[in-house]
Amino acid sequence: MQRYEWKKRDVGITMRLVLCFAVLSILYLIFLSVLAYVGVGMVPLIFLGAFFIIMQYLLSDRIVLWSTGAKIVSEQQYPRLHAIVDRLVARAGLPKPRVAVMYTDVPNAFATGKGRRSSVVAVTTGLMRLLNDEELEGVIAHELAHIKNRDVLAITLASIFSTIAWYMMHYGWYGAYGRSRDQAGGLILAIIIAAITWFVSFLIIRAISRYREFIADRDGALLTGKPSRLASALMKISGMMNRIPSRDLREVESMNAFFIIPALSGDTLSRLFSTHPPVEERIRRLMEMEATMH
Amino acid sequence: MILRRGRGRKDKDVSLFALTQAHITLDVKLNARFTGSAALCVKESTGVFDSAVEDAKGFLEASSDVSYRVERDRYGYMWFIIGSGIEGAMAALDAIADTFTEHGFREQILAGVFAFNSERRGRFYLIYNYRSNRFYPFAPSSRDRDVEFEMLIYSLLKDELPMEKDRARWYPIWDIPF
Repeated sequence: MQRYEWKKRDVGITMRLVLCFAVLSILYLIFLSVLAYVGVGMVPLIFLGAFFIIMQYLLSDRIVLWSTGAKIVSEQQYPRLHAIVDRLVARAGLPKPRVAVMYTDVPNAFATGKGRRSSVVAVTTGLMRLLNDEELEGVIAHELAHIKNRDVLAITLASIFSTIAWYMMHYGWYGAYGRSRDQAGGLILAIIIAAITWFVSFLIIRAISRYREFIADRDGALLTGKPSRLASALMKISGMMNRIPSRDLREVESMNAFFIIPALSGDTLSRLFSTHPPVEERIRRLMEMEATMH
Repeated sequence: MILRRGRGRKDKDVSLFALTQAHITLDVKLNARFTGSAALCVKESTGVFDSAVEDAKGFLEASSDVSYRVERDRYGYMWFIIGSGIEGAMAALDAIADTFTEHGFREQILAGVFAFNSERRGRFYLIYNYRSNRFYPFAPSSRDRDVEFEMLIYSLLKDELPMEKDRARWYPIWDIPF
């Protein structure tokens, strides 16, 4: 049945982005470590690191477009999409971002860009097919909220701190102890501390971005005035919509006449498939918001 | 059947009466009013089932504040459709559900259905499942359902009414005859 088609989770785009930025970060780290090893001082290192991060930030939209395969599209190509964006930016008082499309069936969307002026909003063709106009508007409003709140900057800043922390540890161990004492012990300790630092900052960045998601949900919903649109879009995207049955209760009843297992083992099944508690949580919050608006 | 004993009726369907509060909430928040129609949907059976039906009809005829009619659908279910205020409808549904239970037909009861009308978004139903003692919303729109509206009803009522959390169990009942 075609209802199960949407179940394929959208790991693709996120994974590519994460991979891309991870590879970049690792390259910086290796490069800077080599420099540190050959004896470049701490101050130039910090400058170099900062330079890399700033470059990454400045080029972030290009990196993102390149790694996701999103193409900037014109108003003639996607009039419906542009119309939705136009309506929303007018209401939000934001400059219009560039609009991009990714040609994939996986329903997804993202926003990127350094500032409000140079941002990009991208959606997949799968998303446009899956959602009706109102739901699509809900999703785009969410992405515009990310732009309005400068979330790309926020995440970049957060990673700057984590990178700096990483270096302090790393450099500290190399510089102060590494060469004069037992090399191996110092190195292992440095690696452990670096790993802990990285892990903690990873958790912090995740917490920040999770929090920013909720904020973008809220602001996006305020922009459309219809939180339930985004909620139903999220339900469709996450495949949760498929769990709402369309078969008549009477048909189902006659199928399992003895009810040893109460009408379909919905609980176990849903627990197996609901790998996305955050989506549940986001929908819950959105619907609560909708409820208070009535 | 032996295994099923324990699952019979427990709290005398107290949860059904939570509608008293909930229908006020629906009025205030959604401008949705009880249409005055509710129904108990029961699978037709043989044997003493007929006398259970007679008892139920007898009760409904004796109740001065409710009107009723009985319809049959293509799935072989009987619909006892009650016309009354919300309180009367709850009481009548509870009483005829009792009657069928006493005759040993608890398992034949499919659901209780309450019809509401929302000013902006039209007809929707609250379906009461007699097995789980929980409600869920059902908002049909042509041959589909308005899930967004159902979610809204759910979040409006979930603190007041025992609602079915698992949406995989929100089975629709198409072509409800009222």
